[in-house]
Amino acid sequence: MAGTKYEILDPETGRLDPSIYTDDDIYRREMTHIFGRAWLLIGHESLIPNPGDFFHTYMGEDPVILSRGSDGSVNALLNMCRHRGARLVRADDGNCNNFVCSYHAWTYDLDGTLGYVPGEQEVYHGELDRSKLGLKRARVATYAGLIFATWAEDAPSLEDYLGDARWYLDMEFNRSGKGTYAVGPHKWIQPINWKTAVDNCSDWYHVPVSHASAANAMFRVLGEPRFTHDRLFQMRGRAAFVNGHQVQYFKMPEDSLAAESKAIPTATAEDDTAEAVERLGEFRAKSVVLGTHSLFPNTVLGFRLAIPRGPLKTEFWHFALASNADTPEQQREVLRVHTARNGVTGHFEADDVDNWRQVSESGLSGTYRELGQRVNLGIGHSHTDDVFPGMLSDNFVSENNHRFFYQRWQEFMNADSWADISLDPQKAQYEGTAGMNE
Amino acid sequence: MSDQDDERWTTAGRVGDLAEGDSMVVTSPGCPVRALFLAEGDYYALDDVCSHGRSSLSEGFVDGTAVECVLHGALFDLRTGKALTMPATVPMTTYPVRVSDGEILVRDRPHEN
Repeated sequence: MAGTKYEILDPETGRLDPSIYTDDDIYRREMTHIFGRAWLLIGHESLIPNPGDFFHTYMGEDPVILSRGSDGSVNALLNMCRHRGARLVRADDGNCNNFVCSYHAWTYDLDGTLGYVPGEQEVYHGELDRSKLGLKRARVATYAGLIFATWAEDAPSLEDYLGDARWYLDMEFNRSGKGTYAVGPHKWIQPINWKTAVDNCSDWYHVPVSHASAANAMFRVLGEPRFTHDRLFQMRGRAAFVNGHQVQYFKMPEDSLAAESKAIPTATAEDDTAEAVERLGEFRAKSVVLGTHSLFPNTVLGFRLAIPRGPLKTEFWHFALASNADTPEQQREVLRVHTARNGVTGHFEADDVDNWRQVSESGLSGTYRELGQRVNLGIGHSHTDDVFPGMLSDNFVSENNHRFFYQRWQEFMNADSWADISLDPQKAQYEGTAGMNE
Repeated sequence: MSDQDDERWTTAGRVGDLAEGDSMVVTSPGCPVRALFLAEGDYYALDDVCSHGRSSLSEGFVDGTAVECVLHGALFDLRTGKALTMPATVPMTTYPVRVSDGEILVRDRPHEN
């Protein structure tokens, strides 16, 4: 099995093997080759503001404690006791001085150091080397308040992992020096493969169809024309792809038909422009609007984690992200809109889940596996640009990003180590003062 | 002889029978049931049965020069019959309408398209 090389996508025809959604061996391999290697979004600084704060999260199927040390540092610790594997933290979040295992009371500091073991002299005879038995630590890095972690010692820096995708992501996450804060999560489980929710981020082709009734209601309330196929095909943004990350964007004013709609999600306050110009430069602050996006492997929109629980089981953790620069009314509006459209209560969500379930389950049919899916929209219609980073779709409505996502998936699955995984060259020009954490 | 002499036209009613935004059903032997609308000052006639499902467009809501089917909310352009929104995808057949001596006449034969 270790030697298997996966070839699940034919980029010439778009033929995609649907067993990637249902096969147990493939799923197991994803856990080591993707979730064991990639930088995974695990939380946000605002969830652990004070020393002693902890937030329970996951890296793949691994339970992880996200903790704030007494020195203010951020720790990501495997939530499994080094003794017999029991869970240290049994709550969603909280504040404490240390983590005590409920089995034998092995006690770990906030940074995972094994600080105390009962009977260390009496029954371990002083033979225990506590310094080698701390909780397993993941590498942690942050970007604009978002906390990422990886198990891979040989992974590139988070900055290199995001690469030129950050040129786009800054426009949502880095507009204000006051930063963002996370609300939530809402947590719920769906009988789908995690990848279908991620590739859907770049899928606009389905919007007037799957979301017909929800869109009708929304556009009626907004006082805008109905969202028809005609209107969709007039939208002029692009789908961009960098290092596995998918970003849809609109350039103003040429793509104004898209961006003038209040239906396009943005996370910006109306009067943040001056600060955004300082931090991002005039062009990014004013001329580019971000659409739907995802981070490789399993982070969706802004932000939701698609946590794998099995080939046909995914647990969603859905956060709303509000800006500290917004007024309380604006913050409430962001949260209201966020839960109205997507999330466990979202109007659009219900339409999407049905699609994801069917796409996922298509892998159960031997007959259909022989046919394969055809992720074929926009083949041969992509280009690059001197200003806009990444591989760009010629049309806003495209499945280029879907195909690139599965190629990236294949690259991780077939790699023996990070040495075999490529990063796109970094060419983006960053204006303004915003950095990874400034 | 002009085309019109060879054509059959059905009298749907008289000017004044329909208020702006209103509709009525038009029946004539050998023809599908039609729906007649007065929208933005002009008369339009379409097949009454929605191309998407078993619903009567004459019960629909007129919005400008479009009609919205009551069953699933599909919009059709009254001028061309075009399906403007999901879930409808098949256009409606349209019929010429003319007014003569205060009578509203709908041609039995549809528009060519």
